[in-house]
Amino acid sequence: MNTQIKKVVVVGRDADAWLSALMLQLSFAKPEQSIEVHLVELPSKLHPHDTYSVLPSHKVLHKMLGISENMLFKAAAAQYALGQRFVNWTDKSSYFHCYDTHGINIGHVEFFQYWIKARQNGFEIPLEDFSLGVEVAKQGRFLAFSDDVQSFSKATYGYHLNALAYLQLIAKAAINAGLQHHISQIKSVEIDEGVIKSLILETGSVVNGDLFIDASGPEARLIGELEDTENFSSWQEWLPCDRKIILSAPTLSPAPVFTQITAFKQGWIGFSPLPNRTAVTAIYSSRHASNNDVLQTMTAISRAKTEGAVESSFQSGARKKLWIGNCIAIGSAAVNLEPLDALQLHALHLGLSLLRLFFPVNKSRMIEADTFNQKMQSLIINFRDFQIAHYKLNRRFNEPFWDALRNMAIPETLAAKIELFKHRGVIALLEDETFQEENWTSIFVGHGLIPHTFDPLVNKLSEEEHIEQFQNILRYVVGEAQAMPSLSAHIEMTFESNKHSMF
Amino acid sequence: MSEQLKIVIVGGGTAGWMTAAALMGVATEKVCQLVLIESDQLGTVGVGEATLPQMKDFNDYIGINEADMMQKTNATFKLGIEFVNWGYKGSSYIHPFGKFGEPISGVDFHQMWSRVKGLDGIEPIEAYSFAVQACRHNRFDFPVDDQTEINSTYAYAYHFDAGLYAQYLRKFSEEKGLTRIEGKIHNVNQDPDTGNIKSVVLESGEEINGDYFIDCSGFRSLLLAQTLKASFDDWSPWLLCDRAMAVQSECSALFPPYTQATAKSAGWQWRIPLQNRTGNGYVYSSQFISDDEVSQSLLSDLDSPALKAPMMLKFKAGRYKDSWQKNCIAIGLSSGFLEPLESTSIYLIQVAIVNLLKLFPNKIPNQTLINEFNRLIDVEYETVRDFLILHYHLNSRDDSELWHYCRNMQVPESLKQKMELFKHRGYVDTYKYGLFAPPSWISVFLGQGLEQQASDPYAYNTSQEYTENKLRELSASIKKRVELMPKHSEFVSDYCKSKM
Repeated sequence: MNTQIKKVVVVGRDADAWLSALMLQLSFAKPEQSIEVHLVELPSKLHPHDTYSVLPSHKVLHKMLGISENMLFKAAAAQYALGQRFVNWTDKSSYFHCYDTHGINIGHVEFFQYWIKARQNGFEIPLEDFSLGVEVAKQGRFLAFSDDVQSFSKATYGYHLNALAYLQLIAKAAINAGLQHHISQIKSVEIDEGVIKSLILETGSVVNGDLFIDASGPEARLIGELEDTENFSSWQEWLPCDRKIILSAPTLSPAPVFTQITAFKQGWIGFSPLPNRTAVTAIYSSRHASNNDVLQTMTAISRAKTEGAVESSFQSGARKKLWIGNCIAIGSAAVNLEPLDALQLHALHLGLSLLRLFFPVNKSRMIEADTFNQKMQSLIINFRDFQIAHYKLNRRFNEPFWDALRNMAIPETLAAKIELFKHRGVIALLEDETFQEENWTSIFVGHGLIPHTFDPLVNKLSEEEHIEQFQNILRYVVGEAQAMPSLSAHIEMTFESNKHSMF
Repeated sequence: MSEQLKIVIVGGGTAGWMTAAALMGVATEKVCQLVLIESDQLGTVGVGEATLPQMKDFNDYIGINEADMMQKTNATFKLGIEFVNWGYKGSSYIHPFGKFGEPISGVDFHQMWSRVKGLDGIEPIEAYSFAVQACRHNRFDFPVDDQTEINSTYAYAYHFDAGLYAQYLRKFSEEKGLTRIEGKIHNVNQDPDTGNIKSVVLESGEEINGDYFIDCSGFRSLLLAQTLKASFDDWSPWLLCDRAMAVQSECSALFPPYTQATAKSAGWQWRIPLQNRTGNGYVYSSQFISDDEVSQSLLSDLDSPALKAPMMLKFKAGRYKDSWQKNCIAIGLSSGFLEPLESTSIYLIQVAIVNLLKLFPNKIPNQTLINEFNRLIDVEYETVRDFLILHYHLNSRDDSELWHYCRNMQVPESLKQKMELFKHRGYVDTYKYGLFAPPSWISVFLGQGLEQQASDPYAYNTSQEYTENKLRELSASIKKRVELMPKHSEFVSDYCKSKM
């Protein structure tokens, strides 16, 4: 048993570092195991303006980490997000992508196929009106429904998170769980035969370990020392945005329960409502706009003051091998994506799930690496394609940035999806998909992709029955949404009751 | 857009009638007009007498009453497959349609079991599978819905007479208005421009047109291979068996709720219990044994007296690339063949039908729909192929050339990786597309002698004592529950006694 891993060292900063450290500490550093987890924390790059927008699946990670919703809201870290509203990405003004299905299957055939037929016959009602999740988002309510609605709707929510408050919560939990915490820059990485032996810190101390987690973000402080120069593949040809500006605006009343993503001439601006502010994030291409242009656009759209705006640069792309030797790149050291589609912490979440699944059993023979790398690659490509789809399918004409994106060649995986959808409205789902049929359908239709044909089995239903079913669904959706509490009523009831009792 | 489609099914048999029944069950006349051409002169293969649990979904989907179907097909229940002498001589394991145990503290059961195996009071893994224990005691009952109960952890399939099942579906389809045309096909007409099939002409001279032709012509692959010249992906370097000798024998007193597959020197022998008889067959590689030797060996290994003389069947493992081409969709043996070791023949028919319905075409064939269908079918075929190869490859038998060859052959990289990771740490992949969930892989890995060398480190978060207690409780509770189940023979005679 002396081949067992005894010491894991996480090197990095912010979400990648703290979430990794907490997961490892809770999963493997229990008394039965005698594994030590160390975090070498590099200086934070976070700013009070920073925000994370996360998918519903992030709740699975929280469950693994013992983070309850109550803790999130008490720390004023979170607000619910039922999805995104995309504004000005097409010639139509906006559409919703919420985490929910549309309508309900009729007979053996999917609802969407009936909608295509109706649309071909001149029916004007948007697909999103058949989605309970979208209706709840529009009405600004808290998602709460009874079991019998579950056969109709899969609606669920993610969160907007105040990055600093959130990470304070996570860090506290990690320290309480017994994590060994060092604060220092890395002076050098000692490597022997493709394996990291130890780290020499700026403080002079030496940290050795059996397994090293690179959570240092794009600088890839550890894995960068082990990989060849070809290991990073840039996605700039499909995702050309490379600059980010963040700032904060006042809260909106009533607070929206979704992220708004508004496209402009050279990128997009996201609005994430939080309990104490509205986080505003602009993502743009520095080849097409100056930061002054973008700051002006941000003020014009949000009426936020631009003082204190923080700017940074990034490059979309991913490493091919995330696990080399005894080093595993996690989060943005593995994949760097713009924060579209609430994917910002998603690669981190997936990486941590797989790290737990494949935590090496033998420190001198980590054959798990190949499978880990293949699976991550497959997951990454699928959600990357989802982001590319927004750009490829834009309908903003006569603007060089958007025109070029509309005409670009796209990865074959995405091209095949679009092709099949265009013909028939079916999603060619692959293994390892983050987004399911309903998500792809929401954005494809939202961007104006209307399939040319529908399933002939739809014709079983008579015109009258067809119309009647549609009317029933629309009534049902509105009625169910109206029965839910408003977001503010829910927050007050659930999370602020203690506050009141203090007075 | 709403034009009615005309669909012609070429061939009866299991594939033809399943396709017909599904289309008649789901589509109406408004959507398509359906014709099935079949010749009474041509025999059907119908070896697929053992099925997988997905069969029940298919029957439910098209609206077939289970008990009625079972009464009219001499059917029995099936909870798994017993593999005898695979891996090594003297071995016996059951690949169950159910799980091994249940997760302990969020960790897969087999990881916890592997941690404590060999300790006092810890039994072989099959003691923790409800389905395996029901098999070992020849018992059957329906699984319960309550997922917290151990007797909810399995599914079931059927053994039936595939010929009678085809007849049953024929009646079902004809009652719904299907037109069956008796006759042999003389020639096939193609559109000179598109190459699409325009019509088939019967020996009687009758010409039958259609928008789509479904090739259910069996091994002959009349439309896909002979007319459209599909190319064949040959998998016989991995799956060497190329013949089967089948024989029926009297009903055995055992009446087990499982199929048996016994490895032999040049292949393996199946035993499938029906209500009125037992189906048997020796699947073998003609490179390694003569037909006469097979016939002798088959007969001498029967549990009960033979009813007829053995019949021989030839085949080649593999499949035609792209089973949907132009306006022709091949379903069943016309699209490919994989030996019935894991009872996958009917399943592969079923997935072709389900995907055809999911991608139901309009009047003019569209290449993107076709590509998607073929992509989905590729995944299914390849998963089954690799799982079959595993049975042959993972062996330590040194009694014959076949087993020696299979042990040393190069297997697909993905399979090699699966075996290595199981051995290294008991890791079993889960995937959404394609057959075989982790319990299937675990049963074959362990049953054929691939021991895992270490457990998932996460499994060590639970104390050893707690784990041992959990395992003890579980096997005791399974034993108690299984003893309360009716005998399979009694259950069948109460629920679905044959009316044939």
